[in-house]
Amino acid sequence: MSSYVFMKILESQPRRYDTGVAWLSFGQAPRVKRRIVDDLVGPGMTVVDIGCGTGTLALMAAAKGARVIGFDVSPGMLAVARRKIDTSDLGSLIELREMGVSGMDHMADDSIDLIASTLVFSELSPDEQRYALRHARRVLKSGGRIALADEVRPRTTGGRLLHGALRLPMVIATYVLTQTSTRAVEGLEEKVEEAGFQIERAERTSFGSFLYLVATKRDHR
Amino acid sequence: MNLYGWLIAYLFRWFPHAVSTGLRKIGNPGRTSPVLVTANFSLTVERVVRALEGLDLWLLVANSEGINVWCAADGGIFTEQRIIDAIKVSDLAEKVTHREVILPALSAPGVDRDAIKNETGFHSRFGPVHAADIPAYLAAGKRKTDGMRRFRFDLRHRLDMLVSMNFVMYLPVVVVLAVFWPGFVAGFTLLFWGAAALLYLFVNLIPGRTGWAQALFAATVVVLAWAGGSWAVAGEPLPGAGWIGATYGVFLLAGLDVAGIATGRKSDPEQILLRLGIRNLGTIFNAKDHGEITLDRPTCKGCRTCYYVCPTGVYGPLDSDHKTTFANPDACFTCVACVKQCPEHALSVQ
Repeated sequence: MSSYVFMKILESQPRRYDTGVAWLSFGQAPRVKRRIVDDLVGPGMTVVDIGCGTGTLALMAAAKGARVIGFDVSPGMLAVARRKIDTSDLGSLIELREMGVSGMDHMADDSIDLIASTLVFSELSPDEQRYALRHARRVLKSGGRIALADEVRPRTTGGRLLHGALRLPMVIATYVLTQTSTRAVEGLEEKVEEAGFQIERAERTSFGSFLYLVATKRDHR
Repeated sequence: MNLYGWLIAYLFRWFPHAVSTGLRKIGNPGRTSPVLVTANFSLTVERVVRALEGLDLWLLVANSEGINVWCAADGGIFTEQRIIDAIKVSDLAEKVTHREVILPALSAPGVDRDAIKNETGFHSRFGPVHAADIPAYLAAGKRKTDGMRRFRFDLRHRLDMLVSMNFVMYLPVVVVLAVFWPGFVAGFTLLFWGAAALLYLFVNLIPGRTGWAQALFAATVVVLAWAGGSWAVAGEPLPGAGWIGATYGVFLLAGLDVAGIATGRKSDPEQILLRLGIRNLGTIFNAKDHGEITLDRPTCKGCRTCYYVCPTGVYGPLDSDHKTTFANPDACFTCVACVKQCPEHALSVQ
């Protein structure tokens, strides 16, 4: 066993994950979830959360009366999400599935109003990102939206340097305390457009390192 | 991977180091070539690719978040979902005509093979534990010897772990010494790597039931030898108390988890915490599946899956009732491969 102690670190990771990404994104991660739900979720809508993690966004959306399907590859994260949902009274509105993006092929065409995904695309390979976007477009109803928030590479050299310098101590501190880290996703806007979406809004904050993107399904590609 | 990246990955092996996922060609694979699955830890992929040189096959790198197969499978990260994702997203079904993937044997603690079959149509089987055995395994028509099923805690493994697992222990101490007491850097370096080499290379010869007992024994031998030597040379029986203390400290640091890492026995730091009743310690320790693997005898059908998937050789031949047996229970450190793979759910952690 190359590292038995290390395994134990991993097993305790999900509960600290929320804290870790909140720090690493300079507080953006929890705020943007709130914003997606406030801006885009309404009662009676069907929402999919790709990589729902510990269920934060799913709970917020269900509290507004939406039906939520959240999925994640991590059984540890889902266990935490289940505990959070069980202590709320929103259990009947939220369905959790243990699966990766490839499981989206089971979802019916034109059945979803909103697909949200925060700090997940940066964890996916380029192939997985394209796969997820292709199926996102397929399962969305006409006029349905996708809302993505993720860490991105700043566009300017100055922005990259400044962001890197500010981020490095955060990366180290976050890794030591929560054993969590994040990566930047590249070319997200282009991938979203290529998949057949019309970008409505793309806002970069934190020195251009955090992207909030809302796009609508184009009916004809 | 360039040399710099490899060095970082190797010396900081405690930490994840991810490479890109997806389907890779090894040699010139065709539509009937075998498909091997591995995890996206840089050192793992590098070793597998090296072992496969000269063969023509597909290597499907699935996402384990940059962690090695065994730890990621046991930690609930390298699961069937990651493999399902990799198969579907890479369009594997379009690239090969057969429907079989060969999984790393050490993924057994985390992977439900039925789910892979149901979701992708791909049947799966466990290959050998060590990548180096893959060519022989394929040449033998995908048949494993018992040797290929077991993790080898041999000298080569211990030498590998000696360098790669101890560097992270060595580095913080030497940095502090270099800043505040630079005069001690050379002495500490010599003492630390000497102690680590002694413990990791001769761990099977040093008396003591636990790794820490072995470390204390080895430290005592070194202190006595030192005292004897210094008495013989200078007529002074003992080195200073500070150096004696430092020797014990360094041996315990290098031997912190020598039992778990070098020999696959139970991890000392974890056992101590559990005995003290501590289940959580800050952020670095959380006890989940600890305890003994237990067999529900009436449920066991004697299929011997546990025997085949156990990487440490805990299980023996069936008994007279046609039930599995724990021939070598001390070799178990609860990786739960047997529990996960038992088709009758006859095994559990109690």
